[in-house]
Amino acid sequence: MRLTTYLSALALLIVGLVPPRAHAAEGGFTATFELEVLAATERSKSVGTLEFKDALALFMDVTEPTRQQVFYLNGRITLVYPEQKIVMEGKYPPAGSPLAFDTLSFATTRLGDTTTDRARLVETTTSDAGKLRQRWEVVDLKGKAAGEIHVEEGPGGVEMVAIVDTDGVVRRRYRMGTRVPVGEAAIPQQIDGEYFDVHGQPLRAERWTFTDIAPLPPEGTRRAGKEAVRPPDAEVRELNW
Amino acid sequence: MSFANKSMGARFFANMAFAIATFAACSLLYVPVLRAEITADSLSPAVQPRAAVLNTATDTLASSERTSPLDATQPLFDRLAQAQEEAAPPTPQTPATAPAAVPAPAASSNPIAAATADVGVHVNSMLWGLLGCATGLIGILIAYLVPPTPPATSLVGKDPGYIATYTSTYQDVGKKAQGKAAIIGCLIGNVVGGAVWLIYTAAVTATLY
Repeated sequence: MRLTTYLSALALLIVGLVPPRAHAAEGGFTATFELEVLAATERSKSVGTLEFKDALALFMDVTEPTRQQVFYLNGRITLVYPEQKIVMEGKYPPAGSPLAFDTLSFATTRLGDTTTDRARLVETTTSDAGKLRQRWEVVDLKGKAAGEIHVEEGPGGVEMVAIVDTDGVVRRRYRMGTRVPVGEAAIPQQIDGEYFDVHGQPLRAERWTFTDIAPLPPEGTRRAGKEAVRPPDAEVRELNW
Repeated sequence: MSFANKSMGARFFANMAFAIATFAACSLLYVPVLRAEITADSLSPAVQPRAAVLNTATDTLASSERTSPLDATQPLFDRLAQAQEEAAPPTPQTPATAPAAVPAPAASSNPIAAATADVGVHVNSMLWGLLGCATGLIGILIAYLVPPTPPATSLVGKDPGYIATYTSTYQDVGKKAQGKAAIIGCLIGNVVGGAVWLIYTAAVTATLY
């Protein structure tokens, strides 16, 4: 890799590869989910129900392949295994965890949410299919270009977001499927997260599929955004996270 | 360039020789390390065959996406799934009376291989390279002390034993990757610093003598 590529990619990673701001749909949503992960050595599938308040407050009740409850709140993750009476708690990482569930964070993303404060709109076009396309240039603290964010929006909302480095290589791409209106928001029934290395080679793909999408339960009954509920006699283990 | 006396000339050439030697040594060190960056091609031997299949199957994708990132029509997930299915060995036909074959373990049952592969996806080697370049040994020390955070989606639906092995492996491998990137950055910084020092020394020497 050339030095210039190394340094410019570095700038992109600092200012560009950040998840969208965690704007929640009004009241969030709940759904039955299916998460499939494809990587070089891994092909896994998990099924359960999701309560999504926002990208920093969510709860998952996983039923397959292992019964597991995932509490994620402000960068802290707690895994509860009710049948095995085991709780795994992850400490707050020193710099937070901005990339946790990054694909899922696009569930409620609106167009303006996909850019940072250090991005400027450089091009607006319309695709052959009539979709609005915007190209945002990400700039570093000195105003120098550090990469681009490409966004495609259809009538229902954001459909695709691609993060491109200064060499024009796609590093991450997120695809949102058909949206279902929930309250004031429109939740996609499917979200794909695609990961590429510096050469554009695909490394990993995640697919979230939602069914039975509905508004978040009332405050008293929801578990998203709440502290984890631990079985009384559970063994608590530290999670290296 | 003229020197006031022989000792000054000897000192200048000694400085030059030291700077050139430093530059050469750093170059020899960092070039092979830089070339061995973590990608799917430099994963553990257990990971390489499947990664090679995936990369080969998606070469067209990578080249076409460099110009139009929003024009890729087929999701990567579908293409990877198709590539994995094509790469999988055919299932042998067993007679109806034969006992049921033991199913092959799932690919995700190996947390060490999965963690090693995920490090290449998620660890921010660029950032650690800059830190090593800017802060030198301190950056390298931090890189080896601060563990990376495993991807949360890799923990969903996994049993406690898998997660314990996965996360510890991820952090061990990740710290090494961070440290390597910081060392690369440190060496680059030293090379640049050595070149600057060389020019500065030559300029000062020429000016004073």
